[in-house]
Amino acid sequence: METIFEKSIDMRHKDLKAVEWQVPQITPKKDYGDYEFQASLEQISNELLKTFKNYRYEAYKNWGFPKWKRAKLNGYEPDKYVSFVPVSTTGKILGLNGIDQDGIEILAKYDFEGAHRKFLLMAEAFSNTGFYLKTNEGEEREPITLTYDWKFPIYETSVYNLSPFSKATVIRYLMPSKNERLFRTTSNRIIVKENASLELININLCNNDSINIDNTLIEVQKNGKVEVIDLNIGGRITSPHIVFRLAGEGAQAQLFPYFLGDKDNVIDMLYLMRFYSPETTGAIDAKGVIKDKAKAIFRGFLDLKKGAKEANASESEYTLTLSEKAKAEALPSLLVDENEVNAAHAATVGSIEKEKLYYLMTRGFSLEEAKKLISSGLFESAIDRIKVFDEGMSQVVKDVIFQRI
Amino acid sequence: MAKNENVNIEDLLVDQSKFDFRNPETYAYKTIPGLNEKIVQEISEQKEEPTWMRDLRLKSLHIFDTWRDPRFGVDVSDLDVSKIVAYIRPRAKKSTSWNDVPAEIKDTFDKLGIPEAEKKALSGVGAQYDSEIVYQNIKKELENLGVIFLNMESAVKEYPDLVKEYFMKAVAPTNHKYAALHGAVWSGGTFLYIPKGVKVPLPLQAYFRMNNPGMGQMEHTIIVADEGSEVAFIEGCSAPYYEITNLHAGMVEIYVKKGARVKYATIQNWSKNTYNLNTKRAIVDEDGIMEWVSGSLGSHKTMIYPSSILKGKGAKTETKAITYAGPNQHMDSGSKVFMFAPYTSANVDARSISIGGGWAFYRGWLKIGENAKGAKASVSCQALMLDNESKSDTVPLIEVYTDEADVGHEARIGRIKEEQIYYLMSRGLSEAEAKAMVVRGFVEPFAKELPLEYAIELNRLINLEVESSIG
Repeated sequence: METIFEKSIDMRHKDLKAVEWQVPQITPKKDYGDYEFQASLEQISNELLKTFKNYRYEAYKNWGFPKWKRAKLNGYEPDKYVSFVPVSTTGKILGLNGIDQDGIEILAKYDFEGAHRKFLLMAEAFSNTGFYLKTNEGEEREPITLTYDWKFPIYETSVYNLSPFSKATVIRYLMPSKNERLFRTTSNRIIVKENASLELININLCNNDSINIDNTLIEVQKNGKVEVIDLNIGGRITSPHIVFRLAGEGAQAQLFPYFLGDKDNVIDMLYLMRFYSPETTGAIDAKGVIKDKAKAIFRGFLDLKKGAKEANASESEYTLTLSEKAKAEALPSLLVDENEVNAAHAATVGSIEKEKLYYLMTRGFSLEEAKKLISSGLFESAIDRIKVFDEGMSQVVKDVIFQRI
Repeated sequence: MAKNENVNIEDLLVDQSKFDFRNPETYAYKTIPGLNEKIVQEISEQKEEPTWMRDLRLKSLHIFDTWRDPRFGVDVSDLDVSKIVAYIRPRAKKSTSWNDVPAEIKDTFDKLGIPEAEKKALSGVGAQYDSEIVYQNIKKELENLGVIFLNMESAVKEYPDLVKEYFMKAVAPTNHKYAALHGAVWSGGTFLYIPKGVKVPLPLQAYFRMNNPGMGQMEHTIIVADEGSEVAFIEGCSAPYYEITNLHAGMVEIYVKKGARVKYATIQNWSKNTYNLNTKRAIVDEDGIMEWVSGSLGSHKTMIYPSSILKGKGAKTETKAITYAGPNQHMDSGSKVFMFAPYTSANVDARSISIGGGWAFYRGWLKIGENAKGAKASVSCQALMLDNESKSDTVPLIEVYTDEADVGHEARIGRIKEEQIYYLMSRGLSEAEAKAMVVRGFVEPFAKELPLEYAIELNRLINLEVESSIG
């Protein structure tokens, strides 16, 4: 079987190559080992899945935890392991143990780096939760909600397998938790087959001590469609990593990242869209707010491969900084191997326009209120979209945003 | 198809031999290939240098020996510094008159049009052949105003305190491995000092020519523009093609004092066996203005990121850059701007052309520090891909650490639309001419920053490259 490995950055062209940044690794003093691995295996009965996990566990041993300069992560030592974490669901979706041959092939065929290889392998080897979504051809699945009540470390491996001409909506909701050290890392593979369409909404409401690393690879096949809202709020390190493979002719992907950081939060994002086929369309439209000493690191890569003729690639990013110690970093990149394409990106960083503030203040709002109103307005379209599926959830999100801004 | 095939494209092109000609490999002195303490001592002795300079060289050598390669940029694994001849002194004295320059060397610069340009449009010229300046002269009236325009070796001897104050102070040998290499074996280059309030009317020029195969040219340029002064400096570089690798690791340090203005223009056209690992940095004080005009056309692999450090309130910088990546060229170029003071502003317009399988990689770094309240910056990158074999990447890093700054970045990748070509061909141009015309339009904002002679030269180079790549 042909296997696919998506590197986050591919620095080669013909006989030429460029130097690639190697993230330093730190071997932890204590790490998960056989004991935790066995505990994880005991939760499943699927032999194929066990084989996969075994393979990933062996790979896991070869890696150290990363040293991330920008996100201020200096290696990592895992918390006490819990072998099963319940996630409440609405709608029809299987646990990962229910994965079929088709799903296992997806696990075996598609691989990627994730925010860091160690964290990706960790989510796979020690998975304590996970899902398998498989639609039938032409099926329109009722929206699915996954609610993660975050009390223990979460290690998730999931596969969504959307058959041709089917439709699904998945809302992954990481509930707000008390301020304590919490950890989540995930490994999600999503295949959207011919003419299928997926709407994915990630809502990550993280507390100020938590680390949340959410790794997702999405392949979109011929005329498939994907729309993702990725909302990340708070967190000591919140690190979404989403890779899109626009593999089939006419595949479409739209990504709307939203981020909000306050206090010492670090939101460290990597979004990559790789265009392989003719007439593919991909757009990233990111917005966020940072205040206090928070830092937002936005990496948005559009990578157009040879053969992606008449592909349309676009990206915009806007960061609003609300305090003088907040740090906005952006690396919006365009990588192009094919000249018959349309590709552009733009990034802006700024503060609130004074005129807007004055206007609101003449209407009786205080300066603080005016600032809150304007900056929370950035999240409006995300909140509206969530509201369509769950009004209560959208209210929680709204409150959390308003409270933090 | 082409309506007017009788138009001879050659008429529009510069004679290739203009750059690709070799003189016999003569020299007065050269070191053996490689790099070690003995060679560095030898260079220092040949130049009769003061102790501080020799010590700086040895310290730099130590850094070079112990440091790793940069963790970004072009792959340098096929660059073998142990095969590079670090120092070749030409068989010529440093001279202020072309008549004293040996015939075959003068002939080189004649072919490159340097003495001609000097007469017409320049305030002064320095010409470097291999490792040393062979000709340097400035108009008398500027000398009388206190302008110092000297080759670096003479400046080290004649103005030791002044040189020491600025030499490798903007770029330390610890900056990166090739800055250390430069520190160890630098040779030649220009020292330019413009006194307070002096405005130099015409540009000064330096031309660097590598003639010998397998050599490393590592000239050092320092420009100190004292308060309220103004100067424009142009640098041109070329070399004949050899089968073995040449290395260019030059360094430019510019100090723009309060209210001064410096414009530094480069047309780099190294032969395609050259590694061009160059470092250029300006430190700009209050209300100073630094303009970079950077054309990277030649070389096999290039890493060049002209940098401006805006440390005084209201300091400004502007960068206009054109990078051309043709067959087997890997051009990793860009710009760096560090804004550390209030009300500073920066504008970067970087354009690249890739053709014939070349790789144009824009790498930018814009940093706005906590104290840069009211800073304004805009970075624009545009890439033109002329075929489907080439690659064009844009990777700008933007760091904003203050809440009162206005920062924008945009990038666009484009191609020549068929309609454009058909239209121009219907007006009688050949396909090559039509393409060259579109490319010239693309580089126009850059070309107009150059003196006319250089703009014409740039256009000729583009015609030549486009034509030879379309084949």
